[in-house]
Amino acid sequence: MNRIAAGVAIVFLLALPWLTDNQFLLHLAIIVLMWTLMGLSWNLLGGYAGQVSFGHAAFFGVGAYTTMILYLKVGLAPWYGIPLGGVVAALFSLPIGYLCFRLRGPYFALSTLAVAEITRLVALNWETLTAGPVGLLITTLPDVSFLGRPVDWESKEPFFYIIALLAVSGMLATHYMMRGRLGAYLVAIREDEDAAESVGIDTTRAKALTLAASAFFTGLAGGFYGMYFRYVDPDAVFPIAISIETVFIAVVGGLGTVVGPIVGAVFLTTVAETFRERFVVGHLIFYGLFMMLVIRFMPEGIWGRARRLYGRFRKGGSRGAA
Amino acid sequence: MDRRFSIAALVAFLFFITGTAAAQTLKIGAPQPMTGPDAPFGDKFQKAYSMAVEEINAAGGVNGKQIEVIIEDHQAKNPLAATVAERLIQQREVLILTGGRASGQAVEIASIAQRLKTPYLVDHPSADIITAKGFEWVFRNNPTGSIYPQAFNKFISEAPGAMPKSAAVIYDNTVFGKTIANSAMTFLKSKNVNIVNDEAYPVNTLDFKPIMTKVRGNNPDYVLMVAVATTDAILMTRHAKEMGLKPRAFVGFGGGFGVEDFAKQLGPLSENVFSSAAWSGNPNDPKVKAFYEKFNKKYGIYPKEHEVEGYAAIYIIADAMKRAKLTGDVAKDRDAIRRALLKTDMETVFGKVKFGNYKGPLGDPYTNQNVNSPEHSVLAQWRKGKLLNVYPKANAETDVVFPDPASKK
Repeated sequence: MNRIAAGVAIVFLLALPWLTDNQFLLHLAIIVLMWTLMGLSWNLLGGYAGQVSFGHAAFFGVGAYTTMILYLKVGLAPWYGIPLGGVVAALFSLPIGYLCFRLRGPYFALSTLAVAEITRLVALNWETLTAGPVGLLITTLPDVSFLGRPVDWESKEPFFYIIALLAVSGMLATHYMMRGRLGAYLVAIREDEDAAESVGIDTTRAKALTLAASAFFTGLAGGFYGMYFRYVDPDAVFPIAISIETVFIAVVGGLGTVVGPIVGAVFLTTVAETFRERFVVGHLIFYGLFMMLVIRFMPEGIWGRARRLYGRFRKGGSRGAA
Repeated sequence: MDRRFSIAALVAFLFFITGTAAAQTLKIGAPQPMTGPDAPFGDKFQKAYSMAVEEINAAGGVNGKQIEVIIEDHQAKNPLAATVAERLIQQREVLILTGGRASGQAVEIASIAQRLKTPYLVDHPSADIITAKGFEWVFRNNPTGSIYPQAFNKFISEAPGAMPKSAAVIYDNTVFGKTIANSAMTFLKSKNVNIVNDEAYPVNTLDFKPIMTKVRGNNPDYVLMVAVATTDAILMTRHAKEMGLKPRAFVGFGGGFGVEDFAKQLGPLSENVFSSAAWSGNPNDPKVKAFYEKFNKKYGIYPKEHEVEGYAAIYIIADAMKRAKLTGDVAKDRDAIRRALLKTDMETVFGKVKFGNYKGPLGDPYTNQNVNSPEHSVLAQWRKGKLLNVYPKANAETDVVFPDPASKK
C-alpha cells in the first residue's frame, strides 16, 4: 500500500515537467522540493531524535558556499560541487556536535543558534574566500550533455530533476535509517535520554551520526540553492530566518514522519504564495495567524493529523460503524 | 466539524473572488520590500511610482495605452526576490522590471531578468556587481556605490588646502559600506594620503567608543564614516564628538547621514558634518523644485533620493515604451523595450539619462550604466538641521564651511 503510494508519487514527480509548461509552477515545485529536503534533514535530528536545532542555516550556508567556491575558484562542476557541499557540511557538523551535544534541551537549541550566527560572521569577514558582503555571483553554468543532449541551464527542468532526485534520496535515506537500529536508538533518546544511556546506547555517537546525516542533506540543499539562484551572500544563506523556516516545515508537516516534510513544504509554500498574492502588505499577519492555528489545533502536524484520522476511519470502517 | 469546514470554504472562496481582473495595460513589475524591516522603503517607492503612473496616464499614457506598476513584496529576502521576479515575468507577464531596493535582492532580480530575457531598470540598488557582470538586459539609472564618493574626491582635489593630511575610515561591513570605503580609500591612497584607521563594524553597533578611542590616538585630519543604517550614523557621530575627535572635517557617506533624523537626534552635534549624499536631482533646477512641491502636496513629505529615483524610473520606462514598436507579443515587446532603452537619451527629475558601457572608479566594467552617473554625486553639509548641497558649485545651495570651526587650529 505504502509502496504503491510512493511509486505513484515518484511517477507524478518525474512527469510534472511534462504535465505543465508553466515555468513559474515549476519554480514553485523546485522551491517546495528544496524546502522538503531541508525539512526532512532537520526532521532526522529534531523529529526522530528530539534534538531541536535552530542553527541549520549554518549547514545550508556552508553547503551553498562550498559549491559556489568550488565552481568559481576551482572550476569544479556543480554535480560534484553539490554532493561535496553536503560532505563539507557533514564534516563541519562533527566539531559542532561534539561541543553542542554536551548540552541538552533548550541549551542545545540555543547553542546551535549561536553556531549559525558565528558561521555567518565568519563568512561575512573571511573576504579572500567568500568575497564577504559582496557575495558570489555566477553568470553561466558549464556546458554539459546528458544522454547525448545538451542540458539547458536556462530552463527549469534540469534543476527540477536534480532537486527531485536529492529530495527523494533524502526521503529514502530517512526511511531506511529510521527503520534500522539507529532509528530505535533515536526514538529512545527522544523519549528519555538517561534511560537510553542506561540500557547501553552510546547516545553521543548516535546523536552525532544523526547530526552529520542531517547536515549532509542540508548541505545538499544549500549547494543546490547556490546553483539554482546563482548568487549567495552571507545574509541570504546564513540568516536565522532559514533555520526557523526549516523548523516550521518539519513541525507543520508532522514531526518524526517521512512524508511530513513534503506536506509541510507544499503547504507552507502554497499558503505563503497565496497570501502574498491576495494581500500585498498584510500577508504576514495572515501567515502568522495561520501558523498559530495549525500549531494550536494540529500539534502533531498536518501529516500526523491526517494519519491519525485515516487510522480512525479505517478502524471505524472495520467495525461497520458510520 | 461541519461548521469549521464551511468557514474554511468561505475563506477560500473569498480569496478567489477578490482577484482583480486586469485591463489591457502595459505592465511594469516592481519587487519591493512591502513588509519586514525594509518596509518603509517599499512604501516610498510605491508612492513615487503611483504618482508617476497617474501623471503619465492622465497625459494619455503610452501611445494611448495605460501603464500599470505591479508591486510584489519580497520582504528583503533574496530567494523571495527571485521568486517574485519569476512570478512577475512568468505569471503577470510584465514587460519590464524595476525596483529591488537593496543590492542583494537586486542581484537576484538582475540574474533572473537576464535569464528570462526581460529588461530590468535598476532605480536604487547601488552594488557595482549588478551592472558589472555584463548583463545586457539590466540597466541602471542611479550611480553605483563606488561612484558615491566622487563629489568628495573632487572637493578635496579642487578646493584649496582641502587635501587631507591623514584620514580615518570607519564603515559597516555590508556591500554598501565596503564598496564606498574601498572607493574612497583607493582614491586617497592614489593621492598619498595616509589612512591611519581602517575600521569595519557590524550594522547596528551600539557603542562606537572603543573604535573612536583608537581613532583619537591617531589624530586624523579627516574622519570618514560610512553607515547604511541611520542609528549607526547617529551614534558614530555622537561618540566621535564625545570622545573629543576634532578633525578638519567629519564626512559621512550613505543613507544614515542624509535623513532628517540625523539632525533631529544629534541637534547641534550635526552642525557642519558633511554628507557625501545620495543624488536626488539638482535642487537648483526649477522642474525638480516643482516636483518636490507637488510630491509634498500629495503625500505630505518632501521626496528624497528614493522617491526621486522611483519617480524618474517610471518616466524612463514610459519613454522607452513610447519609442519601442509594441506588438502585443510579450517576448518581442520585451526585446523592443530593451533596444529602446539602449537609445534612451533624456532628462528626468533625477538628471540626464543615457546608458552606456564604461569602466568604474574601481575598474569594474559597467554595462548599461547611466553614463552621467559620475556627475550624480554631491557633497552636502548639515546646517541648522538642514542638509544643503555645497559641492560641486553647479548644484550647490549654499557655501561650504571648511575647515570645521570646532577643529583644532
